[in-house]
Amino acid sequence: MLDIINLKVIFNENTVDEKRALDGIDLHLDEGDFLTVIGSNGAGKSTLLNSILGLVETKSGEIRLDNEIITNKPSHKRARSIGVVFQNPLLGTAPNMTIEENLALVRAKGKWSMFARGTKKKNRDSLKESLKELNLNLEDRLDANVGLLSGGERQALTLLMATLESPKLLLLDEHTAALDPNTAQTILSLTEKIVTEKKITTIMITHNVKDALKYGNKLILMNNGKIMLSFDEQAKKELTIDKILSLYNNDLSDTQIFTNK
Amino acid sequence: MSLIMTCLQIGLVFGLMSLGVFISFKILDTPDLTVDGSFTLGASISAILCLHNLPILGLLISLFAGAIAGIITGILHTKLKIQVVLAGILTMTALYSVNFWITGRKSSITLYNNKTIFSFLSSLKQIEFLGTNLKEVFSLLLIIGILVCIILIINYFFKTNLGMAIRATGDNEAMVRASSINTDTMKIISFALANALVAFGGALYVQHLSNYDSQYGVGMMVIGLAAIIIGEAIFKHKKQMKLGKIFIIVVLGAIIYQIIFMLALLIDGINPIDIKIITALIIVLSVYVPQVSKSIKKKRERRRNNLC
Ligand SMILES: Nc1ncnc2c1ncn2[C@@H]1O[C@H](COP(=O)(O)OP(=O)(O)OP(=O)(O)O)[C@@H](O)[C@H]1O
Ligand SMILES: [Mg+2]
Repeated sequence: MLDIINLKVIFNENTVDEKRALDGIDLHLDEGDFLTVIGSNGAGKSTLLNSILGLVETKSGEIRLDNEIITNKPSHKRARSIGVVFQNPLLGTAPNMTIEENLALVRAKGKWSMFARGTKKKNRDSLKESLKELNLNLEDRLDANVGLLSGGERQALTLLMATLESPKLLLLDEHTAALDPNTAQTILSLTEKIVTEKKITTIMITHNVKDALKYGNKLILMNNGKIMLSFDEQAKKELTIDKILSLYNNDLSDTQIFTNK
Repeated sequence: MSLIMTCLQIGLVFGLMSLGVFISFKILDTPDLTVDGSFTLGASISAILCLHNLPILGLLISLFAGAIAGIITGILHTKLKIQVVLAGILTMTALYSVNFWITGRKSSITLYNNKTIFSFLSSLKQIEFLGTNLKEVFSLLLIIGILVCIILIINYFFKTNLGMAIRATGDNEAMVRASSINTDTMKIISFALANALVAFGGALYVQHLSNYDSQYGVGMMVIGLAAIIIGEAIFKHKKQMKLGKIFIIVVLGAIIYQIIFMLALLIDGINPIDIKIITALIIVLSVYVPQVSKSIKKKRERRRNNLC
């Protein structure tokens, strides 16, 4: 489903600031896989997602999505089959537009009739249905501007928007890091519910090892632009926090990721 | 009375132009300085076609020409990666020459003996009406009619998929790209729409005055900004407001600007040359006064709360 072959990303090449952010990444995901990614700050996790999204230039290697080579496809065209939620709740929604308009915008994704009305009465009920799943009573506030929502509400809405049209691939870059622990857990279980219901292949970056173990069926640990460890479904089931710690405690200078908040 | 009439008419025409400024400055959240040039572009095209007694064609072609000017600014900005302010200034500067080509190097044209869209009303000039004449009344109604049509059209447009994508581009560009929409195209379309409206305003202005001058466009962008700021300062009380209402607010702002402007001119010793600095002062005041009044209100509230 997703194949990444020997992918390299180098920032500021041939300068003193040269940084090999991705240094030969190989990754394979099957349909419906839920991969969690851990690794210290600067390991290249975000860069990996951004290169799948087409937001950073790749030096060499190949990215294939459903057997289509997308390495050089413009990002807005990839967006048709890839949904994304970033850490910052402000990034995923348009604050001066209503909840309904925000949802309608992604609903139209890819199959646009330009001069048709963007928000249709007949779609309202199905939008309300989807909003109900969030359990935040947003279905009663369809006409409220998104800028009025709290960070958690906005992030939940972003998640809903990213998955509304069932993308082939969902990318989550620490999407609960800016939320309080309770809201974070709500959003995480919501994430799991949505991606299993819709069978969306998912990659989730997190700094919380507990979450990384709890969610998903595969796990990788990145460091210095490389995948240091990778666990398939069976191996991940047998994995515990202590195991990761003992496996990698010596080699990993930055143990910060292993705080179990 | 006839002074008020002129105020209203010109205010409405400037209101139309201000809607264009609103689209680029507020909806797209990008300062587009093409405005002064595209206003004159519409004006010159309208003047030349009126000389050939084709006023309606003049209005229509100016719409298209304005759109093309906007597209050029948009391409300079999005495709050639020129900063948007500079892109606008470049187009505006180029249009200065273009406008002289259009008028055959004339810097002014009078249209008193030619057909404009207001000509068919001229027989009503003899009929007195409340200190003015019926021609003025019906001219006003005609302008209002045009404005209402345009507001209805753009109000609908911004509710379509395309219009929503444009609003979202001004609101959160990254999110729009993630929704699989080409934001460059959205920007080019909004510049086109904005400058089409501005040029149309210029075209209407010329026909209303029966006169063309190559300097008409100078300072238009600032007038448009003044209209937006004044309108929002006076009439916008809620944080969330329907776009259609905001369009009306902008037009009202333009009318109020025009009234303030005329009153200023009535003061002895103020010369048309002083106009620009008055406009700048109006903008500064209308930004400053609401801020001050808000902080005064807050202080009062605080004091009251302390007393209780
Ligand atoms: N646009 C850029 N220009 C230059 N260097 C960059 C750029 N983006 C990322 N880097 C560098 O590449 C490396 C990998 O960054 P990346 O954001 O992928 O890390 P990360 O694993 O997501 O870290 P974090 O956990 O802090 O989010 C870092 O050293 C970073 O400084
Ligand atoms: Mg990161």
